Amino acid sequence: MTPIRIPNIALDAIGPEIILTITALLLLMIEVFADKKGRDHMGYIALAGAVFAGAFALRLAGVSVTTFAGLYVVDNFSTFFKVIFMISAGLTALISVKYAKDEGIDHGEYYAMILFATVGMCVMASGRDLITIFMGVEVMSISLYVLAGMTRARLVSNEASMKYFILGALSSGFLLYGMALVYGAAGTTQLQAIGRAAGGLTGNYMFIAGAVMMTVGFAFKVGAVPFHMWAPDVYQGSPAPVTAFMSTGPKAAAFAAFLRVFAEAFPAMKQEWWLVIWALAVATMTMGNIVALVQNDVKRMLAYSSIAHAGYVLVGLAVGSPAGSSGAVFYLLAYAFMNLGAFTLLIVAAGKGERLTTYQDFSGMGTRSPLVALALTIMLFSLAGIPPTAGFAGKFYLFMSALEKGFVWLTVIAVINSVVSVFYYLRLVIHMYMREQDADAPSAVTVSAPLAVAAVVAVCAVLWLGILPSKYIEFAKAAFLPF
Amino acid sequence: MGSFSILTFVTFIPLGGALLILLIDRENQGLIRGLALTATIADFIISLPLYLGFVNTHHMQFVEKVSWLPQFGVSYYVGVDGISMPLIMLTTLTTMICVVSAWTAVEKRVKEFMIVLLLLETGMIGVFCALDFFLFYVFWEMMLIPMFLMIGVWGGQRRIYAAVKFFIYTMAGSVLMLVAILWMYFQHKAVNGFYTMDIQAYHGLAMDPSAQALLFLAFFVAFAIKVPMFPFHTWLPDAHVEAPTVGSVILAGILLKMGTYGFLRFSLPMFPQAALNAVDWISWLALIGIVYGALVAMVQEDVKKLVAYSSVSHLGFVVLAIFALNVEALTGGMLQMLNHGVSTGALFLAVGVLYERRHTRMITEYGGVAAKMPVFTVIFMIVTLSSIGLPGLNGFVGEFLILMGTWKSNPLYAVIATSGVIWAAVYMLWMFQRVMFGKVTNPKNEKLKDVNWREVTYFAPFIVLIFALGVYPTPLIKKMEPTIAHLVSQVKKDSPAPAEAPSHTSQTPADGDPHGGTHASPHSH
Repeated sequence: MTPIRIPNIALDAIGPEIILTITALLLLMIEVFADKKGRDHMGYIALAGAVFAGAFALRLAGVSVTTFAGLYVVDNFSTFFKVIFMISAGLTALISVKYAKDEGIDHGEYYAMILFATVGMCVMASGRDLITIFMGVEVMSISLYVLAGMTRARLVSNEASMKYFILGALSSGFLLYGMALVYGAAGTTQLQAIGRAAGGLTGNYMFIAGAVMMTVGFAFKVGAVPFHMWAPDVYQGSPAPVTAFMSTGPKAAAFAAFLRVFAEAFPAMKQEWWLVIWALAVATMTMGNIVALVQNDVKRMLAYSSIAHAGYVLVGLAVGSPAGSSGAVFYLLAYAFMNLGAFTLLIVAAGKGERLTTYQDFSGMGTRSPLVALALTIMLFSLAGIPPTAGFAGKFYLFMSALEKGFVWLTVIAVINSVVSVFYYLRLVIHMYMREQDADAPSAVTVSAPLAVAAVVAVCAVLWLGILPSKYIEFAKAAFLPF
Repeated sequence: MGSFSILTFVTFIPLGGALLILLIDRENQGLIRGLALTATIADFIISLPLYLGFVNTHHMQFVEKVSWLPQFGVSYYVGVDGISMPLIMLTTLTTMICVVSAWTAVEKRVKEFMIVLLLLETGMIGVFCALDFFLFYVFWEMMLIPMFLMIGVWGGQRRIYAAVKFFIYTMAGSVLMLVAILWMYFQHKAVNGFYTMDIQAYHGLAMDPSAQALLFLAFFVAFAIKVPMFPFHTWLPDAHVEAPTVGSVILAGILLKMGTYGFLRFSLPMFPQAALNAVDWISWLALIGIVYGALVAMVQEDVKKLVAYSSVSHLGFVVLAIFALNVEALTGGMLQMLNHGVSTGALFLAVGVLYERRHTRMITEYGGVAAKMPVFTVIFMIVTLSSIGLPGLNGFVGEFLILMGTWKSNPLYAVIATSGVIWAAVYMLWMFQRVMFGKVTNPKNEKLKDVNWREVTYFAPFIVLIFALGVYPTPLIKKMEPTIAHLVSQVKKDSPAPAEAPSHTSQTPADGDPHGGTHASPHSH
């Protein structure tokens, strides 16, 4: 009888995941055992977990390890994404502290779900096997379904959760079906092995159908048009910190898996799929921006803008070069900061129960809360891609990579889209500074300390990445995937 | 690089001032105004050596270069030549004057106003001295935000509409320019084998004619919107009418020059062939602008709108001069840019003086102001005559050189353009007559107070310049000429057309290029 061989496992390579899991379990225990006062600190414990995990991930920069019998890989690409995830999770925990308390959702489960979702995201970025990636997708998605419905007394939150669950399950179905077909054709679920087998599979309909279905599945997860229908309602209905989280971390994770699968498993089909991605990118940016123009609710506007930004990132995927891939990665980093920042300030302005989220509610913000208005303005200009902000550096690098490969029209469409987007971001600035507030407008908003810290971090990061992006672009460059 | 990084200081002192003001309590308006004034005066004084120490060559001076994003070949690279130096001087001077003029005119949100004004100054100076595409673009876009806020927050009735229109127009033009910049960046890599954003490295970059034409167009639209040239001018009257006085002064005095500066810095030296091919249709657009702007100005009832349309007309002269492509016309064009900055800036200030007293800009509301405000009348008269181009005042020198140079290239253009000078006299003097002379018909004008010492103070530098540039512009021309001659030679070098009579009356290009200005073919028949 042959002994069962246990594959070599490099535990130190999955340090971030381990730290996150332990912290999440710890939070669940605290929820059970701690008294009311002890529970006040759960947000900070989650933050600490994310920070430690992020530090651990940073320590792995430059490391390249494949472990768990080739199922799991730790390389610069995954490490960069893990840093984005930790930023997203950490800032989300920070901005949730007061929000969760106000809304009565300050349970251990809330923070634990954020961390479990983050673990799932890490698995998606590091998975080198279809099954591993799918597991990551599910861990992340199921946590997010719960998070979306966390404020269970609010109808919109329930609706968001339900919609997200049904459409998310559908997209998971697509993804899994695609994976099954690819496995059927290639005989393996290991990405690189699929890549090697793909050469002999040109014209194999099962393989192509599998690739198409996986594209659909991923397009759902990143919210690309025409698979975006879930996004606006889910983003609007979910608790604001959860929306901030969903639109940054999990979106980046979906892109990570998307990129890795296509770079490693389907490089042979590059000639075919770049056109598909090209069309997705154009449709996504254009649709997202145009619909965002007519929104009257800031949260919903940010939801559509999030779709548009996914379109910009898809530009990097369509380019399909190392520069395009690292451009997309860098953009996701910049986007994480600016969108989380924007949501932080939205939470500040919206007040308890998220009542004040229309444009009209922001009128006069520049007078009654000048600092909040200033910080939000910086975030909006960054989202619009105006220098010297992270949004500009990100777009610059991304569009540069597109032009390098001769995607002139794609770039022109993308920059025209940026101009369109300026319109609705500016509209909020106009409301804050140029419109008089209503007579019954609220007095100056109060900013709790954790929200203030999150806002300051976001502002500093956005300006820093905008003025001195050099080092971080180098980091992103090292995190490219060979196409 | 000198031991004292003068350009960096000139660029960033206003930013420093803005950050300091950010820390001051908003109630302490005296300190805020004082600090803003100190920052702008300091900035002006520090910028003086740029003029005084300027060596008369076409080479970049006061150069500073520090690597910024090494992986993209981007550096913090600034310097001035005979084109940008006068514009920077104009900027520091105008902003200083603006702070004084806003002293009492702006009562709402003084703190924010001064911050925005100072940020704007940093952006404008940065645009003029940047020698790196990335840096240039950053300043170019960055500058939009404060101007947008200035119009939108401190403007008149339809301020939001005007501000948004201004922003979207300019932004739309500049993003296409960004694509063009990036395209050239890779072209440069393909030709020369390394990445750089150094603007001068792109002068004479080899590229095929069709690409050159497209790139020229992308840059042209961005700059033509900024100038603004017909038919991209529609944002300007709105922006001017709604902007506060300071906004109008900066807009007319400096922002409009960025378009023409862009032609000189980018369009001509980088796409000489395309520029030569485009001479005719651009000249016609400029001529339409001259005549159309003047005619529309004539029928305006709002003084500010009148001055705004007169800007369209005056800038038409500058564009015509630039695309006449000879040293006289270009020198005239440069002078006209400065003259327009001075005289139109002063005109807007004068309108502001009236507006502050009466809160209206309708011509019919006035009449007989001369009797009530004698000192102001003298000032306004000088400024008006300068704008018309009376010999002895600054406007004349520029227009004369432009028309002379244009005649050399194409007499027809010069004839049409000259009509613009006549129209200018008509609309300006008619306006002046209706506002200032006659009897006081409107009782509200009975109590008008004459200008106070503060107002005289901020007009004074402009008045001095109006006379100085009108009587003795030679020192300034001497400083600009080598750069202009070099620029002309850069464009003409590639021209395949045979040389006509050399149109050079001035010195030979300082770079010693034998082809220099001798190939001065007008190329526009």
